[in-house]
Amino acid sequence: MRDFRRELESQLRLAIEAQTAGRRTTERGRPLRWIPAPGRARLAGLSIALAAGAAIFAVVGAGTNPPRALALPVLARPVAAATGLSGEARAELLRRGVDLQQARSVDTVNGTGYVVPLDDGSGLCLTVPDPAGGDGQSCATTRDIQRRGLVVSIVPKNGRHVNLVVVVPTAATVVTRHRGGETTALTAVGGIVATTVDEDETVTLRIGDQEHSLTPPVNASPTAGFAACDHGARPVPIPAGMPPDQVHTLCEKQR
Amino acid sequence: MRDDRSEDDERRRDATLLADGSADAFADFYRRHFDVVLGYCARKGLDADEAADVVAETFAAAWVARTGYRPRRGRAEAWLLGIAGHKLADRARRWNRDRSTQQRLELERVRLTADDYRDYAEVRDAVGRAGEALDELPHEQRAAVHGRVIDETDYSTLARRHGVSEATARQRVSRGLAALRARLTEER
Repeated sequence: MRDFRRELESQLRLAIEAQTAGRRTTERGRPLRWIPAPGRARLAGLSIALAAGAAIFAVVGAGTNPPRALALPVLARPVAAATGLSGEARAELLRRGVDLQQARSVDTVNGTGYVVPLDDGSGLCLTVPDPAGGDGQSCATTRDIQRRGLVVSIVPKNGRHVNLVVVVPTAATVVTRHRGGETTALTAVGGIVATTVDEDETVTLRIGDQEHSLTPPVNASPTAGFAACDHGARPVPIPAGMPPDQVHTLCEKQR
Repeated sequence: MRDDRSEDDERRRDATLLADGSADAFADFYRRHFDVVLGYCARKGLDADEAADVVAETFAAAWVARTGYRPRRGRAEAWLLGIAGHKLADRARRWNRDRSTQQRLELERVRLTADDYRDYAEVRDAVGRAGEALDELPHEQRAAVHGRVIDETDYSTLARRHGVSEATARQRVSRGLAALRARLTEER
């Protein structure tokens, strides 16, 4: 049983490290959306609006609880062992309460990412490796994803383009609007669109005649419900009822 | 006396590893006792897949309950086999594979390789041969060896249980093991 012995030890180590990391995060008392990595300052700005739409459920939207059944096309993908997850990404996902046994793998230009359902069936998390280190993660309720999609955007270090991975709801199309005004429509494959756009191009999710922006400008102002901190890559959820003049203290706590 | 000191050291070492709370320390604890738990599964007649589940579930539960180990009450092996025994009882009751603690820790099921199946078959063979040889020992030696090696009972408890001195209990175990070794060597 030498192979089993080695593999089980590895599994136990990962689980313990994940638990230990999860406890540290909880002690800080703040759900983190992005796993910090050096040189990702620009990621923060791009991700703020995406994160706000996707992750605010962690603060106010967790009440919705639709059945897990194939509410989203990505769930028709076969379940895959999430063996490519980094320890940090795994720890963060576990802290969010995902069911790793139900992960679906997603090919991206940055490597293998995963779509992982929350264990109560209320939503999904998307995690994508960042070539600069760490991972980008985003989570949302199923209802939210059906309306707006679920996005992780990563700006390569020193790059002038954006890598987007989008969990696309049924009957939706991802549309890129180029500099000249022309558009390109991308249909999801297996419920996912993974695309690269220049910084000054815009990407929207189109469902019928409704469009939702997926690429906010880098200097986007904080979306309601989130505070942008200028020192790192983490948009910080603002607790309900917090006076506006106290919001800056959230960033101080994250330093 | 040297055995007692050594056993105390072992218990303290295990207690320290469990109390440490780090992945490295628990991995050390796991490596020290993996064979004991696997051997227990083999003695209970589990097949390789069942044994893998029980071993994984036992160590996952040991991690969760690590603060519950009291070195004064006995060796870590006995504590672990107590957990394994509960897992076996749970399996018998539920008629399915129990992975509840593994799932709680998000452990993925480890798939056994061809080498694993071969290794486990050797463990079971060795256990089977030892079991047959054990059956051939005189009653007192068999009870002493069974109590000490299989049930992981310490010598003082063994002595009380059989109404003899601790020295006599040690002697019975020692002679029984020597006889077992001789018989198993003959078979080769």
